[in-house]
Amino acid sequence: MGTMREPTYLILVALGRGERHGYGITQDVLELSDGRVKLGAGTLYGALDRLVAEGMVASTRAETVDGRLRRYYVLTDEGGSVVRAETQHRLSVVTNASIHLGLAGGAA
Amino acid sequence: MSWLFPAWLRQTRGEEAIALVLDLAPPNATSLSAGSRIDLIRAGLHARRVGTPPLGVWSAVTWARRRNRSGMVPDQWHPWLLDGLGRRGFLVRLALLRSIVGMGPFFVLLMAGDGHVSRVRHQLLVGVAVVVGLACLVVVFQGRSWRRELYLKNGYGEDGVRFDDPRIQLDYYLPQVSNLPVEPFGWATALVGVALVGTAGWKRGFSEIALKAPSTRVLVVTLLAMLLLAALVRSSLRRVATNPATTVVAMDGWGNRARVVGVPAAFGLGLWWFSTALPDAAMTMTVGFAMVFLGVAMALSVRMAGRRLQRAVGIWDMFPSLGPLPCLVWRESLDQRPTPPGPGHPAS
Repeated sequence: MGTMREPTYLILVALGRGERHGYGITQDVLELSDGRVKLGAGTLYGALDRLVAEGMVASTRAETVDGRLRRYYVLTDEGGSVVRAETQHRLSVVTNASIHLGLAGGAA
Repeated sequence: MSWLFPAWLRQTRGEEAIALVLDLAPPNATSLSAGSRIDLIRAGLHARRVGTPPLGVWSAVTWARRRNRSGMVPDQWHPWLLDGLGRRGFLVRLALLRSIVGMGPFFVLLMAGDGHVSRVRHQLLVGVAVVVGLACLVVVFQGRSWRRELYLKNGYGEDGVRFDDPRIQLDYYLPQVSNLPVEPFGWATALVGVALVGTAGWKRGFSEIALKAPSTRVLVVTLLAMLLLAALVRSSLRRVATNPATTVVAMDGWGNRARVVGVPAAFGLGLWWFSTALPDAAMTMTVGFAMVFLGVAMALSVRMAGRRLQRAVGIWDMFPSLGPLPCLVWRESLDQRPTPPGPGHPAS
């Protein structure tokens, strides 16, 4: 869990909001990362393939819009647990780091 | 750029990924940005890396034999196998590897026995040409058979569609006559061949084999005798015909066999006559290139036969009595009879 890469984490978080297709995921990831992480098709589907194989994400349905195939994905129960645990872990790290650095909101 | 992506990835993600690339592209864009290209290339390379099986699986396929269980791969690697079998390059790689392993020691021995640097270079060229030529021959004559075998061994039909009918199961049987008395002949014959060329190379250099040395002459005679004996032993083996699909299909007369024998023989005679008039270096290079042309000529002969018979024809169709015995059988329950795998069964 501690080694989860940021794009993977952000994809899981994006799917935490509900069913998304590929383009929807990229836009959510862009928003979640304040524009820092721009997922390309290769990176996104590489990560999705892995997450589907690991049982964290599942494909639900597909539709064609304007001649373009859109397949939708959701978090599985396992994926939900993993992303929540990862978020807790990251929150804990951020809190500790804030205390360590004496940043506002983190100091005791 | 599509060649970069494995077939399984193109099938599962191709359309979807293209749609996303188009969605992400700026309006009125006429080409992909450098970033998108790099992203796609990286994804393709990554897919190839994770889609390549471990050495054990890979070597089981590379060295698959007809008469054992080699070539069966775990289910998780079936997409890789199916992807590979759909490509001619996959079979060419297999053939090249087998050819290198089979012929490599032969040429190492040959070169080790010759101290002349110029000759070593020529022998190396000939070696490469022979290995490539042999691989071409093997692909042409055995490629389809390999493909069918590997498909069947892993539970797929020739079209790459899995046999899901539970009434059908693939199994193996031991032929009534063991391979034991036959296999050593093949290896022994190859060893004598290596010893023959090695001896000649050691004493005189490859291009000066004149059949004058008594040891060389003995080796030649032994080699020919062993080849003949191996052929006789193979032809005397009983064949186990388990059902019509595994029966060897007879060729139409001697026409094809004569062509397959006649073309190389005429070619060899012509080459021998031609080479006597050439200097040393030109002769060795001619021999190397001739191997490739010989392969093409024989391939055309077999393809013509296949077109006339409207089915895949392999070298063992031409010489059915010399071919290896089939290993795969098709087992069916007696009460209900599912569709058999068809005439493309690897029993040719």
